[in-house]
Amino acid sequence: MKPLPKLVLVDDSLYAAQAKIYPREIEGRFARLRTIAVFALLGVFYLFPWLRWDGRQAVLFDLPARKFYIFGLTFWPQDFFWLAWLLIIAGVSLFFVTALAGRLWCGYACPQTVWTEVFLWIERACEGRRNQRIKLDAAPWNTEKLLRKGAKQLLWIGFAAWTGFTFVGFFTPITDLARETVHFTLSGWETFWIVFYGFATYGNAGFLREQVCKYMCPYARFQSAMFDKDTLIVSYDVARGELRGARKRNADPKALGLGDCVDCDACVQVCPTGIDIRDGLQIECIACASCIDACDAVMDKMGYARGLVGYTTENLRAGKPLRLLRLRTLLYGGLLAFLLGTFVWGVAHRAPLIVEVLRDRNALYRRSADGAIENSYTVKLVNKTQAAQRVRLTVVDDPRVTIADRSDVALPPGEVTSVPLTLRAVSPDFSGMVRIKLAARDDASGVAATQTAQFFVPEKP
Amino acid sequence: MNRIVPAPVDRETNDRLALAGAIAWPSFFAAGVATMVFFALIDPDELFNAAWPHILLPREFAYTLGFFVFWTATLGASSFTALLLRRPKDAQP
Ligand code: SF4
Ligand code: SF4
Repeated sequence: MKPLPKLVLVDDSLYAAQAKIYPREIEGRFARLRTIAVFALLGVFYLFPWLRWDGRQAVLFDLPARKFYIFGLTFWPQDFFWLAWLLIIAGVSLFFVTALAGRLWCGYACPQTVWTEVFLWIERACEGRRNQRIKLDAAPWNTEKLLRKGAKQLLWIGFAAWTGFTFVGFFTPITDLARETVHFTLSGWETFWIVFYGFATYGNAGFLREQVCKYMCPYARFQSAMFDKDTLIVSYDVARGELRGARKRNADPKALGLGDCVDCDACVQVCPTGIDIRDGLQIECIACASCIDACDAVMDKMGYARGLVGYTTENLRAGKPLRLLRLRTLLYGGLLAFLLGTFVWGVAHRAPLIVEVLRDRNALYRRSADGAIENSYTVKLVNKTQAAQRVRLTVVDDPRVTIADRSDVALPPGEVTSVPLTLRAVSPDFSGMVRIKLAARDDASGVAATQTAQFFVPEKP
Repeated sequence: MNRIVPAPVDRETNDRLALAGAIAWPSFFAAGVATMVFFALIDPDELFNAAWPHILLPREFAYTLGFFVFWTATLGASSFTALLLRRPKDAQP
């Protein structure tokens, strides 16, 4: 019996010499859970761009127009703060979940896992089960091998292309994109990003797979910092399993001096990262629970109790009670609740109107025919409401400076409007620069905003 | 039990791949974040209008260009780090 090649740390090398991993297919509770997760998450990804809301795409990060739509919400570049906030929330959620339940993310939700799973399904459909795949790879090229491998590649590429297309569909209206694809009129950058993202999917899920987790993923490296003895992990019950050894199905392990592990290597063969869980918790373990399913099936067959390999915590294995409320989880949980609360409040209370005042660069000031001093500006008004507004512009609390050329500005719903504006001071009693406050207000709807600006006059000697 | 053993992949290829991944992925990620922050704060239309008013650059193109400029920078930094981390022995031909 030849041993399976293990990960060996070759001296002077950062990386392990490694065999190609052929994870064996597995059925069981956790595999089903993952299948559900794959369908749910990929369903969201592939379907969301097609949903409509209020006559537009429901989820659209419209980069050309610099506006993000997420169902009923519209985000503007000025709301970037809240998007960054959202990313922080996502990060802290990951910390929180990791502290509680270990690498749940890796096993069921990481795009790497989810897409790899689909690529594996395709591979299985074309090349068969594990042993058939290994044989096929070892066999010389013939028609069958060509057909099987060709079909797999074709499906992989098709799926990757569709993924790239969907990805770009989040950033540019997907119905237009579909029309352009059919008519071969995709723009250069659209084609580029479809190919780029499709290629990344193909490379990561078809080709690199577990290597992404082992060598490239930052989360894999720092997740252990969030672990403690009460974190949910996948582990092997050493006390129950050892001494491991093969035996007949009806043999009495006690009489043979054996533990419950029949040393069938099922847990090793299913492992997508190619490790042996019986060696203890390892950084490579993505907690996919495939080994649990595999071992449970063997235990059932042997008539032993399930759970020789199982989800547990270090403390539970040591016979101590489970503690969910501990400093770490309370801290992460509290922080998360605070961030979420602030986010909901902040997004609900966003300013409906934004005024920006830009000075014209050409001259500091101008003297008009009647001797008054004039400054010119461009005023940008962002109407974030979904209704048309008619705002009046005024200078607040400074009678020395008045608006020369306009008062009312019509703002179409959800648009940015730029208007030129001239301010004047008839006989300025000040020198140099004065700060003024410009207000825009729709008296009917009460929507209002203010902004400060600088007004320049000649220096008095 | 008859065990089927997969053929090993040669180590050199594997090392190279792992290194390339370790350089490409974090730099890609950093460039993505930088692009997001940069273009959230700055509208490329205004930026380019100010600098080169006679060139018409669609925003999509500016975003793509911006991303790759950032990625070039981060990729350079990552590669440099990888180079400096190589042990002198590895660096010999
Ligand atoms: S290790 Fe990284 S890439 Fe792999 S599943 Fe976990 S988060 Fe995803
Ligand atoms: S050891 Fe088990 S849980 Fe961990 S990656 Fe391998 S199969 Fe998945």
